[in-house]
Amino acid sequence: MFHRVMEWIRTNQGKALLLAAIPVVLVLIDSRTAGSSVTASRTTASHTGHWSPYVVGLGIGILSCLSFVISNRPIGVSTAYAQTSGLMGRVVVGSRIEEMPYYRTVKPEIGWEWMLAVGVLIGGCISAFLSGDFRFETAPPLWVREFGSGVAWRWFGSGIGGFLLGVGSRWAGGCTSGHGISGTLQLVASSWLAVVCFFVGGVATAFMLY
Amino acid sequence: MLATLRSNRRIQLAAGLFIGICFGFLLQRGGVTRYEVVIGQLLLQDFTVLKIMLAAIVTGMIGVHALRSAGYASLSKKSGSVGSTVIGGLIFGVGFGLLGYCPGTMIGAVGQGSLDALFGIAGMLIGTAAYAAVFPALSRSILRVGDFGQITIPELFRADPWPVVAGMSVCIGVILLAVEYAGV
Repeated sequence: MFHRVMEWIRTNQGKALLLAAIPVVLVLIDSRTAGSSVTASRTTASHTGHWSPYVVGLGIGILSCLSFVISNRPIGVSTAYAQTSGLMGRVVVGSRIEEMPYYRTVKPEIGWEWMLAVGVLIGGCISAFLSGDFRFETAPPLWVREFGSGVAWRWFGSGIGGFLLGVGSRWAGGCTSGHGISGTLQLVASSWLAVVCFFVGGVATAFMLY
Repeated sequence: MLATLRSNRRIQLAAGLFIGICFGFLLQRGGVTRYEVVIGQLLLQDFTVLKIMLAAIVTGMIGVHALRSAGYASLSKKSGSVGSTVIGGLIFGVGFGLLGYCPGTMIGAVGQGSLDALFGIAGMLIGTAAYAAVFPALSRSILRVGDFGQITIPELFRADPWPVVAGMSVCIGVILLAVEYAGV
């Protein structure tokens, strides 16, 4: 495999150069403004142990490539919710769930995407503990400052927001990871259109709330 | 070797878990599992989310197209239509603004102790089930409106992918520089 990679680099020097240029450019952009991003913003909470967004983005890009090599699949989280809702539906209505047209396209099973979602939980937890960013919160501090400490409203709003994410992600065929990162990096037309709509809807809603 | 790796179900489930752990780690470490950071982006005050997404897109775009040229990956294209992509995307956007997490980051948010994200997960499971219930009616009607299928931007312009990749990389670089100069 290593030999084939070297062979590819020899025959595609221009592309290899482009590939090598990304980390350099990102580091240059980052070093120019080291520390100045994510400060001085009204909404910025304590950024305990957070890495530069460019380092994180580079990491996610490399991880996407790894996902294609190992599994030949793009990273996408919202399918896991469909698998889970199907599994829960099976508990309620039994095997009839598999006759529903939607669950014929997304099988209710513990699949690759389901394991990915479990991994996200574990990875988020590991990162938060290692950087000292772990803390139990019943509502985000920004929400409490803006709307008071009535936690029940935040929980209700979260449930409604989650419901809309569920409907919208399945309706559009992907979410911020499946369309927003994995689809766009493959230059898929529907993904670029979807991510624009995600942000148009999100920005409009946030401005109405705050 | 890759074919046996990809056809082994157990290895694939383990690979999904491993990639998920790395993904969750990076999302949390980038700060995007925090409600404040996501809302800061949607209020156009803190561009962390955009920076992470664009840096990931440019890296992954060049990497995946290189893998594809070398025969190590095939594209997995999502089909789209105006009725599905635009309407679904806007519904998603409203939920995104209301919840302040997205489907991936809210799982990571639970991992960092943000308990409100649990209600987002519950809501999303119900929303997905509700969509599955109305899917047959939607697929006969609105999802078909303005169908453009599984198409990539290079295919749209009948162009070779590499010039498009190079052009997009330059555009993303310019956007990132502009965001940094604006100091957000």
